[in-house]
Amino acid sequence: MEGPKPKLKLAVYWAAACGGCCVSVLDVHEKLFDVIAAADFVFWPIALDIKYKDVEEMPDNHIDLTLFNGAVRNSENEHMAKLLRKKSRILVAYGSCSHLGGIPGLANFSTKEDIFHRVYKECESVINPENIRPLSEYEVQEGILELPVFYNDVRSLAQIVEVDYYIPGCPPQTERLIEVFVAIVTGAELPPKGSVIGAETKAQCDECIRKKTENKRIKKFYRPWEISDDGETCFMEQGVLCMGPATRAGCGYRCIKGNAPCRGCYGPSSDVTDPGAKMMSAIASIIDEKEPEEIKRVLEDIVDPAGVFYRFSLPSSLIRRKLS
Amino acid sequence: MKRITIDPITRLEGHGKIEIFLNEDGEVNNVYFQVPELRGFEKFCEGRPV
Repeated sequence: MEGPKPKLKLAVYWAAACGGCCVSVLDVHEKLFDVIAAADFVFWPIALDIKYKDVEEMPDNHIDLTLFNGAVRNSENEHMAKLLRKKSRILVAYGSCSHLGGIPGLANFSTKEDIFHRVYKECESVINPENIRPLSEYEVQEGILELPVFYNDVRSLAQIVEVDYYIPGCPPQTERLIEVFVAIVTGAELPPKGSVIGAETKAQCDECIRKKTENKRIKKFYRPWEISDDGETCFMEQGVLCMGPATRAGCGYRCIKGNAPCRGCYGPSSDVTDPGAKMMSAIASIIDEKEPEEIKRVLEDIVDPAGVFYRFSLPSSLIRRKLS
Repeated sequence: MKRITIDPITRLEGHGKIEIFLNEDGEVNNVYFQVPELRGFEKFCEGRPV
């Protein structure tokens, strides 16, 4: 007699993350019952009490699918990335941080020393006259305590280990996760290794729900609160910076539907190598000025262009980081 | 002295590790709560538009 079909083994882990990706998994709501009918979670710190040592003891390839979220910021993140790669048949970089470096990757505009100085010395809520800093090893009367080593650079998951698939987003859309999960459970043919799944290949602008006009003549860029948005015209055509030209579609236009410009969390679309370069090209094509001085004045309206263009992707972009 | 390591702490949002040291009678002598994760928002948010 044939026994019951063995259940899939799933894991969800966060490295340098905020918890939003784990919540996007929980957002399957009552479909969670369908998930646990087909699969067991064998590791998921936000929800289950399974320790690192339990994962260390699992045989290699024991886990069928791991959703790894968060960037690689320190030695513990790196160790867990390598450990979960070894223990997982399919390793998915889940969410912007794991996919591209994400918001924590903005730290690549500073150095480890800049961050430690700000956080442990200069910060308004800190009193630290002895200049105490975290150490990877610290001797107490009972023995040695250990903390992970904080790296100078933030990296994406693929910069540490081989990644099977990428599910982008900050956080990914739960509906798209369900599609991916169903494909794996039903044994549907999976896309080639290294693919971005749960998203489109095209850019946000290609099918944007906002209207495009022929008014591609911008004499001033505005912050969203500086204008009265008409609720239907392309943000860029109203002079509000939108990451749509450089960003992969597939999020369901969540920000646009909320009358906010795209922030770029799905990362570059398949034909974009570098979001900063693409945005500079998009901006250059709509500025309605001829004189270099005037063009400079228009560009000066854009606050923190590098931080905006690479908000979710700095560690995996061409520039990767600020040099000292 | 016996050492009990709870790594990671679970079922909450965030990273944490607890080291418990017991004396010869099995009583808790000392406990250290450690936060292994830092991202540095205090630094990298500076100058960014909201």
